[in-house]
Amino acid sequence: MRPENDEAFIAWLDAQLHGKVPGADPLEKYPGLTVDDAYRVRGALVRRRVQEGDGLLGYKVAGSNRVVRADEHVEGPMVGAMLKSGLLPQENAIPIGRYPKAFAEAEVAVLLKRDLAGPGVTLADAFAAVECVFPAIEVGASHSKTRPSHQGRIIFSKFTAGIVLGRPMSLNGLDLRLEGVVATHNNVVKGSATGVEVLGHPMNAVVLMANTMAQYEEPLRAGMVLMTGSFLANIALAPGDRVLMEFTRLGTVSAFFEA
Amino acid sequence: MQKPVQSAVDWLQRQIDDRLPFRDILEIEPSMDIDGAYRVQFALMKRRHEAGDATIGYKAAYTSAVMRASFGIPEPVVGHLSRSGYFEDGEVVATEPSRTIVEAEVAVVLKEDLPGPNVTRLDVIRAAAGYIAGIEIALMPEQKRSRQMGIAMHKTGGGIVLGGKIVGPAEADLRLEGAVISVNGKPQGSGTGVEVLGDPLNAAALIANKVAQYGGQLKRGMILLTGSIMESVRVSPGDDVLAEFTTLGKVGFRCG
Repeated sequence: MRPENDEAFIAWLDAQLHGKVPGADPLEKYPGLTVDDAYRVRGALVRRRVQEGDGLLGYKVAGSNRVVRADEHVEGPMVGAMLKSGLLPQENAIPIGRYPKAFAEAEVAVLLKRDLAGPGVTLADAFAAVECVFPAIEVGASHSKTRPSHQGRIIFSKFTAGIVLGRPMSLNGLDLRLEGVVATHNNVVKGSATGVEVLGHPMNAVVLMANTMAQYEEPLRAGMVLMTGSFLANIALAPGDRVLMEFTRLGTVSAFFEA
Repeated sequence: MQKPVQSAVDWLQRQIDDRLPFRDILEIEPSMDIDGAYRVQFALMKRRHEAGDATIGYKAAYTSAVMRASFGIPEPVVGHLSRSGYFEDGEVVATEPSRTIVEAEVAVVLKEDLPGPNVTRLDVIRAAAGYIAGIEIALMPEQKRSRQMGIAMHKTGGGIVLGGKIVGPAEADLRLEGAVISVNGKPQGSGTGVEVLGDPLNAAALIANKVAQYGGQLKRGMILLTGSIMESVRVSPGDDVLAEFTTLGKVGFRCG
């Protein structure tokens, strides 16, 4: 039986994300699970959530930062999925107490006005499909204390916690490669960087997402939000923390956290 | 204290001009402090200016906390910029193998004199014609040297390159201005002006105050090079260096 058709397996994974069973790596049940399998299993997990009333918000890239990748030996960038329940507010405290680890990353989010269906999507196609961009924070969380496998990362997509979006801005005239960001955590500047750190240009992440998800019959659709990847090393969070991301021209976005 | 400074300046000038084997200034003036070192720098540069190598501005070094921690320097260092160290965008600039480093920095150009003391970032905004993309070219010292020696010699070597575009003070927030430095097309680091004492304008004010303290003058048309935005990058002859900024455009040169 294909792992993505194994209902008990999917239910077990889903139960982990709901905190109903202890977190465990998918490889424990399927030691031979490939990266391809992981994407298909993730697809099944998302479909289950959609059936339960949530929605697919879009996709995100992880492991795309030039500096972070060198540190963490992540096996290249991967594409995660985001649910609509993961769209979080700037103005209300975000609960993170249930996660052993939570962190924040500064990213640019893209709203699509057109479908992007690979294979063969180019940078030009991606530019033509952009409605607008947002300054954004990804709030990532591990639901398990142990370090996940690459397949585990893909399946759980880090789609726990969610994303916070600032104000929309037209991409016209903006070169995101040179767009700067200053990340502040509890009033202390944690670092700065430009979009060059995100696969050379954040729009390369959009191309990557379109062509990767095409392999799993999941085209990018108009109306989806795409998180292009972190500008900086992530910021570890504790309840009571506040983060602020200030971009050169995209404006600011902030978030604060509670238990 | 005039005599000790002039004899130290004579000595340092001979060391540099005659390319004598390295000796630290503390060997000839063991009691020289930081204040004394700045007086030597300003006196040396005044001589050079009068001999024809004009002072075209000033610069700040060790403006990032990381750089200060790396080199054990407690506060930024202010140095002179000379005409002989000014290079054109895109030029070939002679470099020394395994000693030359480059840094992307914001240059502030003055449209008015900026006399100290008590210069604040608001005074800098008022006196600035605008901001220009910059690269500083520096030589790593061959030997370990005292802080005093570093200050006394700042800058007798290396140089600066400025880009072709100026952006007015009301048009840019330098704290959030991004920069990327690339060598041979490969990005080596990025950051924003927040890395420069929280804002390059703070570095410009610091420079103005140090210059006033030692009897220098910030005049219209002078350049203030505010300090490195990211970690310095080593380069070799043949390398192409490019610094790109979010709104200030770009600047580059080739290592000869």
